[in-house]
Amino acid sequence: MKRLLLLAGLAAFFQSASAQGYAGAIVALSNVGMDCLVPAVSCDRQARGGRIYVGTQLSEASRINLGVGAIDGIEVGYMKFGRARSAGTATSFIIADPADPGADPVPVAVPATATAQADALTVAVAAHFPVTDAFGLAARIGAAYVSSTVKWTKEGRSTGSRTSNEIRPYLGLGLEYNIPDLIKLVGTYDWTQYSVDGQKGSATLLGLGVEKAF
Amino acid sequence: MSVSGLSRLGVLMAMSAAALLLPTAQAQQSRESIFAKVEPSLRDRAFMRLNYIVANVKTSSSDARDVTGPVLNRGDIKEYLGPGTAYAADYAAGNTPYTKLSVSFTNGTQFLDERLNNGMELDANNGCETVRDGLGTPCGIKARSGAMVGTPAVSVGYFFNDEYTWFVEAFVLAAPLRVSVYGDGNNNLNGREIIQLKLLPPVAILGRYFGEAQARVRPFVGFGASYAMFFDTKATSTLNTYQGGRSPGDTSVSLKNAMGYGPFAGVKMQLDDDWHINLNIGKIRFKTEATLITRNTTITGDSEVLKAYGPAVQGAMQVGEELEVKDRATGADASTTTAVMCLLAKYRDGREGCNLGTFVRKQSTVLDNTMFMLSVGRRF
Repeated sequence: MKRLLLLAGLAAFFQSASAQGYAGAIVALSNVGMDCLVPAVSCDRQARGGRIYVGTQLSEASRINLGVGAIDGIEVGYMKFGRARSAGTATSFIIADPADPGADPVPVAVPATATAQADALTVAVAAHFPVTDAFGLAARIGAAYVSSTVKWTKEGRSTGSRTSNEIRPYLGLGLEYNIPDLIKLVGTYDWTQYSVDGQKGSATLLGLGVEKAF
Repeated sequence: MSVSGLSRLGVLMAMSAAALLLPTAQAQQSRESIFAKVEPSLRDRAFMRLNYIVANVKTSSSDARDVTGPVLNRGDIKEYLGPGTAYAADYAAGNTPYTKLSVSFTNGTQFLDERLNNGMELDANNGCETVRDGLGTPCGIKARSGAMVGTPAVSVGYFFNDEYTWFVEAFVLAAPLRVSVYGDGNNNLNGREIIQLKLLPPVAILGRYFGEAQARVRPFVGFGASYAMFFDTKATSTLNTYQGGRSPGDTSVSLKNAMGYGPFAGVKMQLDDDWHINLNIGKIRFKTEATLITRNTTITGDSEVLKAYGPAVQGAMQVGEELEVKDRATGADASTTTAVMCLLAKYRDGREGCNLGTFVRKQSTVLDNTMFMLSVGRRF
């Protein structure tokens, strides 16, 4: 899969391109599939996120015809996933009897939180599949450079964080409604993966936005 | 300055720069006069930009660790203040600075030694392995940098071909970033400023634009490299006191310069034949190591660092404080911890004035920077 993505990326990278550029912005509901604390008081993987992107349309000669549509664009973008949060308990050790400070510490459950968030730079080839003159479908496949961060707190205090950066596959699906000579309304679903400090899973955006050609 | 304030300032500066640099008749004349003698082919492919860079920094820090060993090694009290030591002889002769801190098991250093050893063992078994062999830097002392920093910068670039696709861009001039580092982890330093430093991270980007040369909007992807130079690094008084520095300036900090790499992506929007606006987003990771040196280390019963140890060690210290140690000269009550540390300085380290000497700590840190660059540029 990684080799396929790499080949697709390199092919797109060295394609001679284009005629027209476009840019878009999406406001989305994000989902970062973090592991919840055990035991968890709450675990909310959803938050607000978004994506901005810029693309260029391939020249006629460079497009790859798929019959019902064509691979006709190269896009770069930036995705921001919202913060997934989990609240629960963690173990801390205390002296149970203040009058006997020399006693052995005993384990107690204290409030703890964990949060995970991610953002990503993406490069992808885009395919468009017209359904009617105004309405169409879009698909994107490429690679994402995903930065993922987890942070922990115990008793309200930060106990550290970890960030990792990895190249992961990126897939996107979209619905597009073109308002001629104005803008394009788009609905998108974007998927990639995150991985940090032993946690890994999917990171997705489901959003609405606009796209403008220049 | 708040993050939003910083962002607004960045946007305002970029807009001001854009307004100043917008192609006017005067600017056109200036271009002719300044760049007329530059080789045309070079001039057409070269560009310069005025940028405002905002970096969002995420810090992953390891726990600080002792390089020169802990301040109090396990067994030090027994070895240097126990029976058969020079201290025991001085105590018997009434020549020690404290009374009642005898070498007997029930009321003195042996008792304290055993309680502390037991505390270290328990806290180590409960997850703080570093205290198993002694009391030095407590567990979980971490650091994080301020989240957002910004600076203006000037860059120059060059396209390698007539299609204006492949390019290299170097940031040749930038104001140093002022960075504050804060304590992190479950301890008293959390959220307090511990280090101030300046950072100069010259960046070079090799990239490729997509789209035709004449296209108004062209996305690009690239690869950036940066060499982070840290300078004017200072420990705050908070950190100095926490580390046991007796006088201001007893703690010094240095950070290793670091090379960083990462991807960049962005877009260039052409305003006319010469002028453009550019937006870059890039990610660069630096791995660095901080070295903290504290001289004239002095630990007393009031030292904040003691509160960062685990409950068993703290419990042992509290029990020790009940030993009713008195200053022989004044007859006043004295802290057992202060007394023990002062006696160790004298009988272990051979120093007067409770000076435990110089200790070196290191801490590895990874800085993940997401850089947002807004720029106004023009061809030469």
